[in-house]
Amino acid sequence: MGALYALVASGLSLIQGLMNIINFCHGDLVTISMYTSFLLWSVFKMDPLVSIPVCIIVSTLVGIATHKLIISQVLRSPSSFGQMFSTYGLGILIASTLQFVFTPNYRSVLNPFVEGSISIGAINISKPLLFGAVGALLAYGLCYWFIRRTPEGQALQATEQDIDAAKMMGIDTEKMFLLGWTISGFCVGTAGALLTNFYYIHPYVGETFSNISFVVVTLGGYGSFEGSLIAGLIVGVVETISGYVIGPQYKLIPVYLTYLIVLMFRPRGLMGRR
Amino acid sequence: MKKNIIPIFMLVVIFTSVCFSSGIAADDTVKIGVVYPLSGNQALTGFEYRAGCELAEEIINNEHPEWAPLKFAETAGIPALNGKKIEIVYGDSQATPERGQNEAERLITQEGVVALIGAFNSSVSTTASQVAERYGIPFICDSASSPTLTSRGFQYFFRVFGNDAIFVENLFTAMREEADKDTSREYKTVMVLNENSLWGSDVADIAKLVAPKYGFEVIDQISYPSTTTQVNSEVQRVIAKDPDILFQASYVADAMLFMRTFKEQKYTPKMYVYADGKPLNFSYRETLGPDGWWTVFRTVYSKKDAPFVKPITEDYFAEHYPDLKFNENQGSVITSVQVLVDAINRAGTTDPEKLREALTQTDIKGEEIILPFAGVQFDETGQNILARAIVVQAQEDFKFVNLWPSEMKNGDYVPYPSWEER
Repeated sequence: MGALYALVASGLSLIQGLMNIINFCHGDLVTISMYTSFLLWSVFKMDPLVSIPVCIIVSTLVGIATHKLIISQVLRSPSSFGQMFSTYGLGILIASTLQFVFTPNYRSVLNPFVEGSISIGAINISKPLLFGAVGALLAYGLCYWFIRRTPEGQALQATEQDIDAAKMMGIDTEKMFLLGWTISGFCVGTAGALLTNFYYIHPYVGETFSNISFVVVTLGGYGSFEGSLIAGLIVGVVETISGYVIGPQYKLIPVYLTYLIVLMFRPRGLMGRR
Repeated sequence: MKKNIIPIFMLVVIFTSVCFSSGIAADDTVKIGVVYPLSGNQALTGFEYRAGCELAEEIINNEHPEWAPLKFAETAGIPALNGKKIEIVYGDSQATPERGQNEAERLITQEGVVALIGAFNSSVSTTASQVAERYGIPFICDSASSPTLTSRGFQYFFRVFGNDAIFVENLFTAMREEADKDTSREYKTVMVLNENSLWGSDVADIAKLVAPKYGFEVIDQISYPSTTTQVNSEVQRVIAKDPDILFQASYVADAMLFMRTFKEQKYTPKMYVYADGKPLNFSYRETLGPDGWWTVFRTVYSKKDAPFVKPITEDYFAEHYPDLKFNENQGSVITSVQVLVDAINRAGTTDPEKLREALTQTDIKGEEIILPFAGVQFDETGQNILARAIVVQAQEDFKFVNLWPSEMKNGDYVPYPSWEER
C-alpha cells in the first residue's frame, strides 16, 4: 500500500514543484483511472493489468485538458485562492459527474487475473497487494529514470528549480508543464489500474487517497520525487505496524504524529529543498 | 453603464432566490423535509432512500386500490386536508453531522417543511434532530438505530425503527438458539469488530453488555475508522484471537474490504454475524458474490405475507428502479411517511404542536405497513415499541433464510464453511 501511496503522491508532488500549484483534484484523477479500468473490464472483459496503458492515456489527457483549460488560465491570476479553488471545484465536478453517470454503487472487478494469496509459512501475502506494490515501484522507477537520466527529464528539473532561468536557457516551459502532466498522468493511471485489482470503485474513492497524498508530499518535501517514495513507504509501513501493535483504531495517529515530528524538526520535509 | 449592471444583477439574483426558496406554489402541497447522504462516500444509501421517498409520494398522493390495505394507498392526498398532496424536499448530509445540521436548518427555515424525516446515520440524526427540537418541528427518525437518540428527553423526536438495544438482543437470542442446535461445533467466544462512529460504538457497547446474558464471552473488541484504505492489521488481530463468533458492525465499503482480506488470509470464524443488513445491499452482493454467503445478519425488512408486498416491491419497484432491490431502507422511509401523514390526518392540520400531540397517540396496525413490525406505537421517549428485527442467514445464491423469530422461520441455519469447503 505504501508503494501505491508513493506513486500517487509523486505525481502530485511533481505538479506542485513544477507549477507551484496545489492540485486538489489529484485524487479524482485516480478515481477516473479506476473507472476507466472498470469500464474496460465490464465492456471488453479486459483485465485491470492489461488496461494500464489505456488508463495512463485517459488520465494524462484529463490532466492536460485540466492544464490547458484551467491551470494555465489561473496561473496568470495573482491570487493563490483562485488556483486552490479552481482545482478543488474541478474535483467536485469530476466526482459528481462520475456519480451521475455510474450511480453511487460500489463497483469492483470480479475474478481478476491476479487474485488470492501466497502462503509463506504462516504468513499469507495478498497477491493483488503484492502486484500493486511491485507494479507501483516499477512505474516509479521508470519515472525516476526518465526525470534523472534523459535530456527532457533534465529540462523538466531545470524548470522546476528556476522557471525564469530555464526560459532564458531556451527551454519551452509550457512544453515542460505538459510533460509534467503526462508523467503525473502516468503515475495516477498506473496506480488507479493497480488499485482496481483489489479495491472498490466509487465516485469519491479518490478523496481517501488524496488526503494521504498530501501527507506524503508534505512529509517527503514539496516537489521532491525521491521524498515521495520514502514518505509513501513510511506512511504505509507505520500505518500497518501501528495498527497491529497499538490497535487498529489508532493506526492513523502515529502516521500524523510522524508527520508532525518531521515537520517540527525539518519544516521543508524529509527531502525538500531550501 | 457598468455601475448599473451590478445592482440589476443583484436584484435578479435576490428575486430568483426568493422565488425558488419560498416556493411560489408552496401552498397547495404539504412539504416534508428529508435528510440523507445523497453524495459522498455513502451516496449509494442515499440513493436507495431517495427511491423510497419517491415511492412514498406515489403511495400517498395517488390512488392505488390494488395496494390495500397499505395505509393511504387507496386515497389520493391527505384525506383530512381535502386531498392535499405531499411534497418531499431533499437535504444532503454527505454523512457528516455538521452538514446534516445545516441542511435541517435550511429545510425548516427556508423550505418551510412541516416535519423532518431522516437521517440514516445516527450521528447525523443526532444533530439534525437537535435543530428540529429547537424549532419545535417533529423529527421522524426512520432508520438510525443508536439507543442514545431516544434517551435525550426530546419532545419532538419519534423513532419508527427499532434501536440497537432491541436489535442486538434479537441477534444474540438467535445466535444462542442456533449455537445450541449446532452440536458439531462449540460456540463460546465472541469478538466485536466495529467502525468507530456513534452507531458502531453503540452496537459494540451493547454487544459487550448483552453477550454474557446469553452465555458468550467477549474476548476482544476492535474499532476502526470506516474510511480506512486497508484493514490488514485489524484482520491480523482477529486471526490472532480466533473467536468462535465474529460480530461485526461496518458500513458497506469497509465490510467488503474485510471480507476480501479475510479470504486472502484464508480465515473463517465459526459464525459470522453482521449487526445490520449488509448482505441485503446490492453492491455487497454484486461485489462479493459467493464470498458473502453464509453470513448471519438482522433486517427489519423481510417479505411478509401481505397482498401489497409483491405488487409494490417486485412489480412497481423493479420497473421504476431496475438498478435497486427493495430493502429495509425503502421500507423504513415509506413507513415513516405514513406515520407522519397519519398524524397530520388525525390532527387535521400541520400545526407542529398539534402534530406532535397526534404523533404521541399513533396506533398503526402491523398489516397497514410494509415493514414486518407488529405495528407503530410510541412510548414516552418516542421509541416505537412494536419494532423488532428478523434474524436471517444469507445462504447459497443469496437465498435469505429467516432464523428468528420462530413464527417467521423458514429454514435451518447452515454452519459457516471454511474457504476450502466452498
